Amino acid sequence: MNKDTVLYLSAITYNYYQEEFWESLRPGLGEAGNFVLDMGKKFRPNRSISRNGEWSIPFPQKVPPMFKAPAYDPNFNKSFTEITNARAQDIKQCINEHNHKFAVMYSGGIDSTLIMSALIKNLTAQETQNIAVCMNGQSLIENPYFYNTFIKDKFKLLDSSSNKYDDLIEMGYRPITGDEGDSIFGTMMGHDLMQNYPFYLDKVSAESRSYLESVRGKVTTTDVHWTKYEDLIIQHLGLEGSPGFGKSLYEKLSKNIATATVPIHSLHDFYWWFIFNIKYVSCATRITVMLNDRLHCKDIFENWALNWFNTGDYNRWSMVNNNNGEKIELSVGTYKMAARKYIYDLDKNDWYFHFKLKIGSLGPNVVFNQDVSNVPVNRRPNARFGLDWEYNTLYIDDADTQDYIRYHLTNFRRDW
Amino acid sequence: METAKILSSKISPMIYVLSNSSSDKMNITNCLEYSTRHKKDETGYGGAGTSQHKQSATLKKIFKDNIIHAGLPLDYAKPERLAMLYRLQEYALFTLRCVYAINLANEYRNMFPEKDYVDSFFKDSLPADFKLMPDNSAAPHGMKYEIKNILYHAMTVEEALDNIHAAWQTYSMKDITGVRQHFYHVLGIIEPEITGVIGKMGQWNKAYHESTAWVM
Repeated sequence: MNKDTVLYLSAITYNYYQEEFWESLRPGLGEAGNFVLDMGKKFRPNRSISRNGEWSIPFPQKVPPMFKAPAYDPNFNKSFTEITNARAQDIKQCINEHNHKFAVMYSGGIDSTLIMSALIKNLTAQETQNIAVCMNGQSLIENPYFYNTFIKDKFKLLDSSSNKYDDLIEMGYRPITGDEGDSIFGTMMGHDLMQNYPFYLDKVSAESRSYLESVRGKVTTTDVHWTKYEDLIIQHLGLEGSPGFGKSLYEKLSKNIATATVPIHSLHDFYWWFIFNIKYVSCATRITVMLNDRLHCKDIFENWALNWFNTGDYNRWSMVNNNNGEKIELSVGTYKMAARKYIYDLDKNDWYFHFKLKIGSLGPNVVFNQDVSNVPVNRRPNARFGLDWEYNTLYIDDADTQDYIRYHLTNFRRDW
Repeated sequence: METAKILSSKISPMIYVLSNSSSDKMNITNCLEYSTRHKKDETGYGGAGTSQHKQSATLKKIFKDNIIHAGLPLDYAKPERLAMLYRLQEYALFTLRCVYAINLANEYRNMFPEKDYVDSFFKDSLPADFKLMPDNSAAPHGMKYEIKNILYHAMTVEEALDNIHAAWQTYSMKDITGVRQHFYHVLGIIEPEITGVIGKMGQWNKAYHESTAWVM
């Protein structure tokens, strides 16, 4: 690895293992370098890279080819249902032509329940014999009705608490993940602001507060442009102990949006764009990088893992379906409405349709219970920094990786 | 908490511990119009915040000045969604009553809680094939378990009630303790006629007792 090495993924991760290293760099860094570390503290980790529009990062880095965004097409008019059924047909084809076996990473949440619903609707009973459900007790608790009605005694079950991607692949399964669901529909960050709107309102000026109170119900409509919420967003993006960080991030995101080719109107659009554009690669790669200790990531990305929402059509759908009720009506109770409707068409579960809330599933369902005791400490997930352009995993304790990081962070300059 | 756990098949519930000063204006009719002002005080995993909350029920203390009268939730403004909110309230209240009723009935009337005692204080002390019953019903895991499971899995109050009646019909045939009668009494509904059971507490069902080993 030398200073010109191109990356496909970089992660500034403030966990117990890496924090000391990152903080040791601070004295030698300028404003931009410190900003990047603050991003790591704020987002734990910072794996940002833009798929559309300007967004400078310290390292020479590219979006992995399979996760690039398609061009914005304002005339794209396929429905969410059409696209979802077509995705299930992709799986059907793999089963019938290649006898592929799949393991759906199932949490009981909306994304993975959508995947299961699509497979149940589109595959024959014979074809579903090639589908296993990788889940644990938390998945059952999150959606007991769906499990009892559609999964129990119908699908082979695999334990997600003890089967990582490498385990599944070594058993011959292609893992299916819905990890880009939030990227397609919006973001937990936006929900956090909506839930805590008055908290941030208290921090803005009195005149701004009065206006922001009046537009609280307009966050998912084109009536009020996201820039009108500037004071609120800056407070929300802020980081305790780093004055000016919220404003700096706001300005960086503003530049990205100004140079992007996709229209961004509402406050929900603003946060959707952050995860759809800047954090998409993070969502798309994290399981392969973190939930795999033995296999080469290139092999997984190119031959095994199937990221359900990572298709041109889902991406195009996401770019032309803002502020029409398909992604969200107002707040978290109506989040991922198009997916709720698709699931409801199968399960007719009023409770799930009306009351399902977003629950972060990667931790409790998958990561927390994994046993990595047979992996050397400096090769465990907490010690991973990123991927180079050949998808080799980079580790934070390696001297050349540290030199590389130090060099690029030191030379990073603000351009926003 | 027991009720919240049961409701977690339908919603991801939080139990808020309210202070006196914030609850005096709240009642069973207007409680849906009250809300927390924000979630920033609810730190830690299992809180109500978007990135922390879980499907399983959790308990949280809430600061008194964070409860506000906010009106009905905006996400449930459409008629069909508002109707669903009221349906949730109905199911929650029904579940609360059932849990209260079976717990009280069980504590008052269950004279044979041997499985509970053995599991709690004599784990692995008896041969595995010993038949240990949680109560005097014929329900393999006891009626408390049956009723809570019915409530967890049912989709409507009507479905739950039908299944509860059916469970008593199936499992309380030999119950002489009166748990069933006590349950219905506390629940506040008339006990349905169940053919062939031992009868009201203290009543003698000759046909049944002639077919058992009971010596009364």
